[in-house]
Amino acid sequence: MNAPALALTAVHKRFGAVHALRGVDLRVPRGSIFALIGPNGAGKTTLFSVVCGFLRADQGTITVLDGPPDVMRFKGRLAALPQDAVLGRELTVREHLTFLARLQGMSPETARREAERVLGIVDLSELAGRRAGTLSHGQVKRVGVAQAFLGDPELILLDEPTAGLDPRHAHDLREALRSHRGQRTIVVSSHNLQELEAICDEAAFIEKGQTLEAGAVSALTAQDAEVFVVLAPGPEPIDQLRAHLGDVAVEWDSQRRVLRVSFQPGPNRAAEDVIAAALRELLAQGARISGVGKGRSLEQRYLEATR
Amino acid sequence: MRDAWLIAGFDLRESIRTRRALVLALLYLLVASVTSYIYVEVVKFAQQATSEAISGISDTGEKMAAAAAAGAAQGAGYTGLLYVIAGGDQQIAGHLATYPPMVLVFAWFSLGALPWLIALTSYDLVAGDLHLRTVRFVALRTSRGAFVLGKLLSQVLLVALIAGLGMIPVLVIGGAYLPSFDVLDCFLALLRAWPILALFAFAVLGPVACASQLVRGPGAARALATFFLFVLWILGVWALFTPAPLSLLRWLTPFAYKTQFFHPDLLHRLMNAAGCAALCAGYTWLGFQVFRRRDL
Repeated sequence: MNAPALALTAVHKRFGAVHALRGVDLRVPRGSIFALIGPNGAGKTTLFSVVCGFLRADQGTITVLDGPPDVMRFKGRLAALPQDAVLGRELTVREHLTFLARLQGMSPETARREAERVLGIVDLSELAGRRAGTLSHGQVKRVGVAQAFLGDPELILLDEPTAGLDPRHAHDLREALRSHRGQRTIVVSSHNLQELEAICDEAAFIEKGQTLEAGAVSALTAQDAEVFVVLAPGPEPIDQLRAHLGDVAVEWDSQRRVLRVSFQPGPNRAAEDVIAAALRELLAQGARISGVGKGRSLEQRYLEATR
Repeated sequence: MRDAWLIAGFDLRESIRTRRALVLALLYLLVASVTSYIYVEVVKFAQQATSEAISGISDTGEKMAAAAAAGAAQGAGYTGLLYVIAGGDQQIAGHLATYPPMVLVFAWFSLGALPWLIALTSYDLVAGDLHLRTVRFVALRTSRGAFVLGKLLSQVLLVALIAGLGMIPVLVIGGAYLPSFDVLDCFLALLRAWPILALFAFAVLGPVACASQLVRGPGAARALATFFLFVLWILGVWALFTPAPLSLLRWLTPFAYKTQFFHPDLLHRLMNAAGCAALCAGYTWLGFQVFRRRDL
């Protein structure tokens, strides 16, 4: 099995009396798009900063791309969109990106080409000649994302990349991230859980500086072990369904009219098989179906995990 | 070093487009213009006083003798002034005399003003990037040492550039107001003075760079840089009147290196330049001991 792109074990970080990270454990598989989910002040930005070497951990082990965080070792291999960092105001976007690319070891010509390429990713090519100080908040954010893609690094950390972006550019960025799936490891933090669910393979819930849960998004949201059916007003044949399905757990939320069926997945029992069996029985009992699906939303799981 | 030069070039390009660089340039041009103008006025006054003194003398021989005496007196006064500037060092005073007086006045005032101008304009060379977290874009791509060195080099280049600009008013004012002004001679002397200003800026930037690495906010960095320079200035003055070995403490201050740039011996001047570089490196290194460990 491949070594993870990023692994943290029992990492602590204090700022005076504030204990920002309280023994975070994390393992980010190579090639995955990994979501870091948590409320404000959970320690996500601190965690990113520790991984990048901006902050020093007080305790714990951090392995980034098979070694300790050391800028000279992962020069050009690790990139990040720091949350609050500001670009200088006076030079143009192109000059900034070319400079950063050159710091990664590129020749002037390659750096210029690379700057143009990454500006294309965030749809900012037409603003390459604009002074950074004249850009809007969303444009600055997109330049920040662009610089993280310079030189196609192996590991990219994006701290709230879509915050402040308009819906179209947020969508485009999500698509751009999705297109890198399997090619490089991307860790994204965001409050938009629907967005994370759509693009991420793996996720971790962080709260109060600790990892609450982590794993594949499909496992966290029980995609393979839970189905739900939304019933329209009318018959509620819950007991009949329980009897029909046998060794499964059936939960009925009468307020939201959602029926949840949890089961042990096996070679002959996939989520699709359970859906088919449940629907057959419900329809046979005269129930009216208004929706059906697999698992729970990431948001739901997050709320459950942090309750 | 490649990264440091890249950072220096980028930072210099950014710096020269800022309002602060414009202020530094204007202040420096003001200093150059005012000192040049004062010099011109002093020369005119001396010439006028001499001509008034000898205008009442009717005898041609006596007139010539009086003019010669006045010239000699002025010459003696100037030599005495050089002796004072040289800190009582006869050799240095002699070498100072090889500079056109107007260039010397400009260089001397510049050396006096530079530390305070630098404290006012370069204080945030690191603290500014820490404050805005701009450093985070660079910190993933190069070492902290290269970052500080690049920032330092950019400020030295900026000061050298602005010091070069300061030569223009000297040539313009001298050429416009002094009838016997030798533009070429003055220009060549200014070129000799230019590296002195840049090297002295290096020495001054050491304590300023140290202060800028110790604190995060630009305001605190400015206050600390000014405080450092003030303390070093006091230390330098105190050490002058203190017997050895305590008097050696003056070499810890940039101000001690000013006069030695005008020593006639080239090796001595090179040693002095090396001293400036070492002082800059020493103070910067002290600050770096905090910066290399700090959270960005």
